[in-house]
Amino acid sequence: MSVRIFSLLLFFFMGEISLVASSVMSIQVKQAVVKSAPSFLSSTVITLFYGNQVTVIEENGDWSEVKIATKKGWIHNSALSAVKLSLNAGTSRAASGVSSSEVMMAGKGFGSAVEAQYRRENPTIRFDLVDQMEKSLVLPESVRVFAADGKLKQ
Amino acid sequence: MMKKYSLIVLMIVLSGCSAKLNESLAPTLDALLQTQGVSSQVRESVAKVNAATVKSMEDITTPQQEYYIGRSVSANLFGRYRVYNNPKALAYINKIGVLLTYQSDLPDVYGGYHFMILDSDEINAFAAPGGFIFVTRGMLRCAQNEDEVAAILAHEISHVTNRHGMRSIKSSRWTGLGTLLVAESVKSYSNANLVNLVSSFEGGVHDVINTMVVSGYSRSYELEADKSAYALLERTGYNPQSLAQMLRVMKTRLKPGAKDFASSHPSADDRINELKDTTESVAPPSQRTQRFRKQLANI
Repeated sequence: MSVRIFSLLLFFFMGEISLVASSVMSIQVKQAVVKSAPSFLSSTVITLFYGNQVTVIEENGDWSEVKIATKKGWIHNSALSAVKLSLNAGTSRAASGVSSSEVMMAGKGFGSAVEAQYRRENPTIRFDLVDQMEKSLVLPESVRVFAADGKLKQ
Repeated sequence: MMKKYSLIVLMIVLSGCSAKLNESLAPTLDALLQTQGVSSQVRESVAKVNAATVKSMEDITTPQQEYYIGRSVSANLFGRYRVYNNPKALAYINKIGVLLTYQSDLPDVYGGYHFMILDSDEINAFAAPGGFIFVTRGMLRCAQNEDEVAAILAHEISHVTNRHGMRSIKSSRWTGLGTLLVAESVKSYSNANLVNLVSSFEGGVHDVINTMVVSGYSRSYELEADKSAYALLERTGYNPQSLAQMLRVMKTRLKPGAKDFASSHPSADDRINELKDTTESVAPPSQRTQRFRKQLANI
């Protein structure tokens, strides 16, 4: 019995160790830009999306150098999660053959399903204006020019 | 008997782990118990024990959850204030704001940072979780140059990066959410779980709105936001003294008893004193002065 318990605990902790030590990270924001240097004002190598995975090559302060297929670049650590992320909850988990032990599902907790129900219960709240607010996108290139024109740090 | 011992040992192991660790390992634990033939009823009980250790926001929130809380807080705020329709002014404050976020401790939030001008004479500004930031026309009229606009936005960005909005949500709501999150690893949301989740969500949104608009953040949070804002201005190349200067101007314009910044923030004198920055703000370069006048002249 003790061997079985020991094996059980070993398995349990090995799972956690691999979770922490893995150099594969997931994008935990809707969109994240991989930059050519560790600065948002450097040029963009590629844009990644929620759930995409990257391999971390090295860390430099708040930034990580990552590899995605044949491309390399820098991404801010706030965009990365050590937990493997999946776009869909529930049924797709079984369909993709990915076990629940290695997946944190999108929408878990306070997500789109909860917001949809909250909106149904509060129909007068102005989500239309929030959607409008989210459409105001500022491109990194225009911010770079703005900083340069205003004699600000780049 | 063997299964019972295994279960007890695992529960002891979990009780020794941090709450954050417990939450991240809940699905692993559930899968493990399943392989041992433990019944779903017992597994759910274990999940509940594990969830009971989840006591705070840090234990369970993700950028995505902050985003959804922030969206609903913002939707409620739009019920209280009109939007100021001035695309040039809006584009201008969005550029200043996004540039500041690039130098912040949390530049990547789930849905990105967004800035909006509210059509109100009130001297006020708000920051909802997830990066939704609002500033009134009345507040922008207090700014005498771009650096002071940056000071207002840097203070609000700092509320987001320090997660002050999320921290204003009562801890009981997180405990409830923790229980439901772990339960989801056992089964899909039932209607009852969804109702409970929406109830926790609604309560959380109410807590943030109430703190942001009515009671205000604690003095320590406001001073922390000022301190972060000062560093952020410095890192971006704006004059950090513009924060104290902005507070001096606001002090002369805020009306006692009005429903504005003064009702939900520590006094300007207190904040200036804590910043320990008594020097006068110097004028920014002419390029910044020109574009400030052009974009916000008629605000």
